[in-house]
Amino acid sequence: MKSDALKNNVSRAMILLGFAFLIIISAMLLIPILWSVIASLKDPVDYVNNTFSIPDKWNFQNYSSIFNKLKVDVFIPEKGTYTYGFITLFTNSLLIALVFPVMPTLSTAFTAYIISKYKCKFTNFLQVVNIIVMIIPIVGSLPSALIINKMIGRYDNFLLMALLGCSPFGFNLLFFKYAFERIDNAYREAAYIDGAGDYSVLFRIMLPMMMPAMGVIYLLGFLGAWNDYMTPLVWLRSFPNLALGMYFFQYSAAKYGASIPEILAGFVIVSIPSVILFLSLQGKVMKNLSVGGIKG
Amino acid sequence: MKTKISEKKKMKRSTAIFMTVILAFPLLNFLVFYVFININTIILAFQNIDKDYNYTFAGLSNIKAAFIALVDDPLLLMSVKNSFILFFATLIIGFPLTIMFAYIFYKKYIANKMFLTILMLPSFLSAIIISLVFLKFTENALPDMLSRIFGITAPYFLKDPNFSFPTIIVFVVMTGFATSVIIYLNAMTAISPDIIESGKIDGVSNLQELLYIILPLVYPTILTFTVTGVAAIFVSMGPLYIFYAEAAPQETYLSGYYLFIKAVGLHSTIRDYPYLSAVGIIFTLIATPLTLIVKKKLEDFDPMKDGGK
Repeated sequence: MKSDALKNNVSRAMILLGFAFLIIISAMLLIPILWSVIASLKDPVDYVNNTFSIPDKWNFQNYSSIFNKLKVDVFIPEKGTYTYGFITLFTNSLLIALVFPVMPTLSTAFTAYIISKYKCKFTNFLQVVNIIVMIIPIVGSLPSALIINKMIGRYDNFLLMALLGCSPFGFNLLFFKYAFERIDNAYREAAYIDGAGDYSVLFRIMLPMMMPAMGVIYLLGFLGAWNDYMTPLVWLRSFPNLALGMYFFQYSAAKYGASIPEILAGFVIVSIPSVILFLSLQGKVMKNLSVGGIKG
Repeated sequence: MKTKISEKKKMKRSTAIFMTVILAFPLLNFLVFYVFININTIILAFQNIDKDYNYTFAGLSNIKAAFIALVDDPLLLMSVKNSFILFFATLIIGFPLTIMFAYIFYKKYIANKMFLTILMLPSFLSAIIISLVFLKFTENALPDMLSRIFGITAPYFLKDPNFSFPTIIVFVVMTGFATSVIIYLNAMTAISPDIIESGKIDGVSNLQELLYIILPLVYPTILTFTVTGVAAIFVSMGPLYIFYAEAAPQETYLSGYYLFIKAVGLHSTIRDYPYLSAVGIIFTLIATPLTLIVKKKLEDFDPMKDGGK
């Protein structure tokens, strides 16, 4: 009985400790974000005098003035420096986020379908390749990638960046493979009995059933691409998006007369689409995030 | 009989053609943008590029230079050291907390959804936005807050040499929970309720349930995350570029950042690419056996495996 009581006390202490850390981490994440939203409503003088306090006067016009002041100077190698405004940055963000996840999602889904439903030596080999790609770290390939991509004309080319480079291997392949394996083979068998061919089974039966899973991966890809600054920074300098724009803007803000509260207002505006998208589809995304193992 | 055999052959051929058509584009992309690029990295490491952009065979000179730099170049040494420190910090601090948080959400204690949404913030807000907000907060708001509440003059955490790297570690750990907590939570949720029920009937406490039932059953997920984490030791550059652009203080350097700045920074030149490729190959030769050893040891340790410890 004593040992039971001790056991339960230790368990309770563990849960309480876990909650304590959860509250601390949540506060560390939330406080800066809440501060930035509140500070975005201050005027510059109030911000300097009272950085960490409620605004003396709520300055909502920061949110309208930032649209005009958000101008970003981007240096494009071999071309020079160009200035981009909010509309261009927003349009680039939308295009990149909508278009870029399409080919990787399809490429990975098709590969996962073949691996999960056509068991043979070759598909077993592809699974081994996937594990190797995931666990063998290849470091320092950026210089080579820059040379190759410039050689084939993909560097700073929106269309080729969107269409190519979609290697199917990685975590998403495990996710899709797991999802395909959960679909009963009876559907395929029934279709084959009815005279359907491989293409019909894939495009008319399996892919429609995989739409929720593909939607999750596409949505995560959309969010990733919307928030991605690295791709425009390294590969698509001529197409800076809002994420990269906000990064460069903090350096050029003074030149265009923007204050720190206005920069923070810009941060909030850039975040709105991803917050709305995530909160409305949060349940679906979280439920479908499962990953198998890489044993073997 | 002959008709049946030829029909079977026809089917096999049509299936093979189907597989080829479906896999052609993805595999071609893999061959060009992964295999060929990595083979080219190895080739590049043995070349020199002169001022007229001509490639010449350089033998082992770049590899030698990379080895010497690993011993002599304080920036590269610091990068390697910091990369390992960051990895162990996320393993020792981040991993137990991730499991603990996933378990708390799994048990559905109070305010589950609220805490989960907060932890997920770094996954749906831009890394740039989260990092820049954190930057502005530590630069401006945090010193003001500490002085008002505690009356102390706080340092610039991201600029003070004593605090900058620990601050980076804190940032990486606290923004790293997002997706991993969800994946562990889903793995725990997939455990059969009958197993949990049996444990309850046998009188296990929450701690025992976590240690002896749940962790062994989610071990494949633990293995995947740990192994891929080891593989990424030299690749990660954290938030350094966002915080500091190309001017990160030496004490914060990570190997991913070192290689990135040298390859695409304002002062980078194509003539440095062979040396950088050589450095990358050495990092790969260190990280690969390390990753495979860790994978093997973790697989041997699998508590669900026969004879596992």
